[in-house]
Amino acid sequence: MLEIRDLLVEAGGRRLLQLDNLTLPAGQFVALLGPNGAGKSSLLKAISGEVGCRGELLFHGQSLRHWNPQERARHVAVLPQASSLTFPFSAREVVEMGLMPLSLSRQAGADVVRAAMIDADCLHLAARSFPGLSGGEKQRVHLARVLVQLVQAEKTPLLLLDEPVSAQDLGQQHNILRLAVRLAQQRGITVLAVLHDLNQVLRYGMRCLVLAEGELVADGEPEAVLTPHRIEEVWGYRPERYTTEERFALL
Amino acid sequence: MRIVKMTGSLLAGLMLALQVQAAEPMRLISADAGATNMIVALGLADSLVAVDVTSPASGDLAELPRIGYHRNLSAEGLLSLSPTHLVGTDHMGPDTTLSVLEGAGVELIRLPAAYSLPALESNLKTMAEALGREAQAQSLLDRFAAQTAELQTHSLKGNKVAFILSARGGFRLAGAGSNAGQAMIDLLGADNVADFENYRTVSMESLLAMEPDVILVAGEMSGDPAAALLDSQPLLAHTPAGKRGHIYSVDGASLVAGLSLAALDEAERVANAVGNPDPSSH
Amino acid sequence: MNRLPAIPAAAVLISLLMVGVVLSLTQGAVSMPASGSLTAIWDAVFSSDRSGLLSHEKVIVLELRLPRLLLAMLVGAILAQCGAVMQGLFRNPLADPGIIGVSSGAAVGAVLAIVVLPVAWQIWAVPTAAFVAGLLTTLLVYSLARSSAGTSVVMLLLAGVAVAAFAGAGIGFLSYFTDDTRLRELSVWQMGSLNGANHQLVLLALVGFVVLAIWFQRRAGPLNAFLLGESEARHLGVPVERMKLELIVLAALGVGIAVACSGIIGFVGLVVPHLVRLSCGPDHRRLLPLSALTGAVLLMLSDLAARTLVSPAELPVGLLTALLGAPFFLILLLQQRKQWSLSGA
Repeated sequence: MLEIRDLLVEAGGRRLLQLDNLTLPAGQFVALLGPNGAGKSSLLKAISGEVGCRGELLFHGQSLRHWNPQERARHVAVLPQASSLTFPFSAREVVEMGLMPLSLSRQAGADVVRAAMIDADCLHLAARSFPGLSGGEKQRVHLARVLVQLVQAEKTPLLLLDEPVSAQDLGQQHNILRLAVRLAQQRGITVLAVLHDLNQVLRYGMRCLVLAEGELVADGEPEAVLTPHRIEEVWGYRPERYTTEERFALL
Repeated sequence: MRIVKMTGSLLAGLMLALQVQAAEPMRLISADAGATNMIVALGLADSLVAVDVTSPASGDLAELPRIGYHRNLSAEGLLSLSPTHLVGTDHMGPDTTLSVLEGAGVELIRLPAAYSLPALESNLKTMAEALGREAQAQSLLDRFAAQTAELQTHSLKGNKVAFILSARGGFRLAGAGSNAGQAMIDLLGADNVADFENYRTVSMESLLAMEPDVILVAGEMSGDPAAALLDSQPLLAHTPAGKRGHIYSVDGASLVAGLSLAALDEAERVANAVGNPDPSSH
Repeated sequence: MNRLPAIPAAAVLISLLMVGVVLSLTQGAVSMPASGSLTAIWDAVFSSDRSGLLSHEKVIVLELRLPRLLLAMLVGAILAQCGAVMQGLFRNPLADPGIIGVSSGAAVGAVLAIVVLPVAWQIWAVPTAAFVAGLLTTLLVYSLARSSAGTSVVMLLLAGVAVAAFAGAGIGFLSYFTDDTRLRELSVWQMGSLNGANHQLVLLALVGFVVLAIWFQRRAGPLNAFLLGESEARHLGVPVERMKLELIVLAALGVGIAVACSGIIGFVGLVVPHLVRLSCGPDHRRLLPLSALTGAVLLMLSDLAARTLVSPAELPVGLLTALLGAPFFLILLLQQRKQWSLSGA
C-alpha cells in the first residue's frame, strides 16, 4: 500500500537516509528502530512530505506528492513527537481540529471526536486547557486528533507515530501500543511507529525495520531481527536474552 | 461637502445681512504666534478668544484657552468658542475642519510665514484689512519704516553672523533659506556664516572655523540663552564674536513663527549693541 | 477553564457599540440638544427636518461627528483583526502588526512625502506614500524570511526588526535635512488622529474592513490548525505557505489602510485580541469577529475622549491608546514570563 523506491534524503551534502526498496502493506503495525541519527525521523518526514527527497513514494499506487492535499490529509496522519501549542485551547478543541479535512455534520463530528478520545484515553481531559496538560496527556490528545483525521479515509490510511510512548507512564505505554495493534488489525490502518523499547517490540510482535547510519539493516519478525548479535552491531550494547514460556525478553 | 457648501452660503448670506445691521463684536482665534502678536499690536487683544500653544502666554493672553497644533485643528472645539475669524498660517488644517468652519461663517485669514520685512508688512496689511484696523496698521507700518531706517544706519553689513538655536541637547545653526534665523540676519543687513540650508547640528570646531563676528543665540529656555551657551561651550569665547563680546541672546518667542513685530525690536537692540556700523574697523 | 460564551459576549459588545455611537453623536465641544443630534441623522436619511438644529450644528453632527465615529469603528475593527491574525501567524500572543515592518515602512514613506514633496500635495500624498511604503516593506520582510524550506516565522520577526532599525535610521537621516515645522508634522502624524475623517476615508475603510473581515473569517479554521505548528497544519491539509503569504499581505493592507486614514495608532492590534482571547478563548472563528467589535468600541470611545478631554484642543488618539496599551503590554509580558517559568520552558 505504501511503496518506497530509491528513496534518498540529503541535507547539507550529507546522506541522511537511503532506502532502495520498502513496502508497507495495509493493516500492518511496523516498528521503526535504530539509534539516534539513524534516519528514522528522516523516513517519517519524507513520507509525510516535510522534507524534500528523491525517489518514489507511492501510496495506493499514486505518488504522495501528487495526492490532493485534502485527500492526503484524510489518509496520512502524523503524531508529532513534541507539541508546541501554547494557546489555551481545550483538549477537546484540539481533537476537533482533526475534523478539518473531513466533511461531517456537527453531530457526526462530535461523535467521532468522543470515540477517538475514548480510544486514546483522554476523554476525561476534554474540558481542560491543553497547555496545562502533562507531556503524556498532550500526546494522547494529539493521538485522538489524528485518529479523528483518518475516520473518513476511503482507502486504507497510514498513521505515522513519532515516538508515541516516550512521554507516557508504563500503563499508558501499553495502552497506546495495544491501541495501535487494534487499529492495524481491526481497521486495517498501516501504522509506522518509531520505538525505542525493544521489549515492547518483542511483546507486541510487529514487523521491525532497523535503521542504522541511514540504511535499512534489518527487516522482519522481531524475534529474528533482534538477536543479541544484531543489537550489539547496531546499538553497541550486547544484551542478555531471557526466555519465558511464550517469548523471550532482553536485558 | 455639498451640504457644507450649501449651508455655508446660506449661513454666510445670513451673516452678511446681520453684519450690515449691527457691527457684531469680533471673536478671534489665532493659530499662530505671529498672528497673535499682530492682533495684539493692532489693539485687538480683547477680541481674542483662543490662541495656539506657540503664542505668548503672558498678561491678558494667559487665561485664554489653547487650541491644539495648527495642522490638526478641531472643528468642533473651535466652533464651541463661536469665533468670527480664524487667523493662522497657510499650513492650517485639516481640510475638513477648515471647510466646516467656513461653512459656519467663520472667516479664515491665512498668512504665509514671513521671513522678510516686505512679507511681514504684507501680512500686516492683509490682517488689518480683514479686521478693519487699517488705521492702527498704518501707524505700525510707519514704525516699521522708522525701524528699518534705524537698522540701515546701524547695519551690520559685512559682518558674519551665526544664528544659533540652543536646545537642551545641544545647539543648531541656522542656514540660508526661509527660516527665522536667516530672516533676522537679513534684517541686520549681515551675512550668514553658514553656507547650507535650514538648521543643522554643527560641531564646535566647524563653528570656530566659520569665524563669526556676531553670534545670536535663541533658546527654548527662558533667561539668558547666550550666557548658558557660553557656559556649556566655553570655546565660543575664541571666536571673533567671543573676543569682542558680541554674543547676544535673542528672544526666541519673537521668531518662532517667522518675523514678528517683536523680532524687529530685537534686531534693533542687537544692532545698537554691536554699535560699530563700519566693518572696516574690524 | 472559564470562558465567556461567544453569543452573549457579542451581544454585550454590540450594545456597547450602540451606546458608543449615541455618545459620540451627542457629545462634543459644541453643546447641542442630544435628541437633536440623533434626529439629524434621521433627517439626513429620510430628508425630513425634525431636528430643530441650526445649520452649522447639523454640519457638525453629519460632517464631523458621524464620519469620525464611523472611521474610528472601522479603523479599530481593522487593527484589531490584523492583530489577531498576526498573533496566530506568529503563534505568539505578543505579536503586533507593527513587527512585520508595516509601521516602520509606513513611517519612512510618510517622512519621505513630508520632507520631499511640496506642502500642498501632502494631504493626500502622505497617506498614500505611507500605505505604499508599508506594503512594500512588508513584502521585503517576507521575502527576506523566505527560503526553499518555506517561511520561517523567526526570520520574519528578525527581518522585521532589522527593517525597523533601518527605517529608524533613514527617518533620522531625513529629519536631519528638514526644518522644524516639517518635523513637527511627522511627530503629529506618528501619534495618530481621526480628526481628518471625511466620507471618502470612511468609504475606503469600509471597503477595506469588509474585504478583510470576510477573507480572514474564511481562514479562521486553518489559522487554528496553524497554531498547532506548521507541520501539523500541513498534515491536516492546510496550504501553509500560501496562507502565510496571503495573511501577511492582507494584514499589511489592513494596517496600511488604517495608517492612511488616521496615522499610526498603536496597541489596538495587540491589546484587543489578547483581551478577547482571555475572555472567550483562542478559537479564531470567534476571536476574529469579537476582536473586530471590541476594537471598534475601544477606538470609538478613545476618540471620544481624545476630542473632548482637552477641548478646544485635541489629544492625538494614538497617545490615548498607548497610555492604555503600554501598561497592559507590560502586564502581559510579566504573565508570559510567569507562564514560562511554570512550564519550565
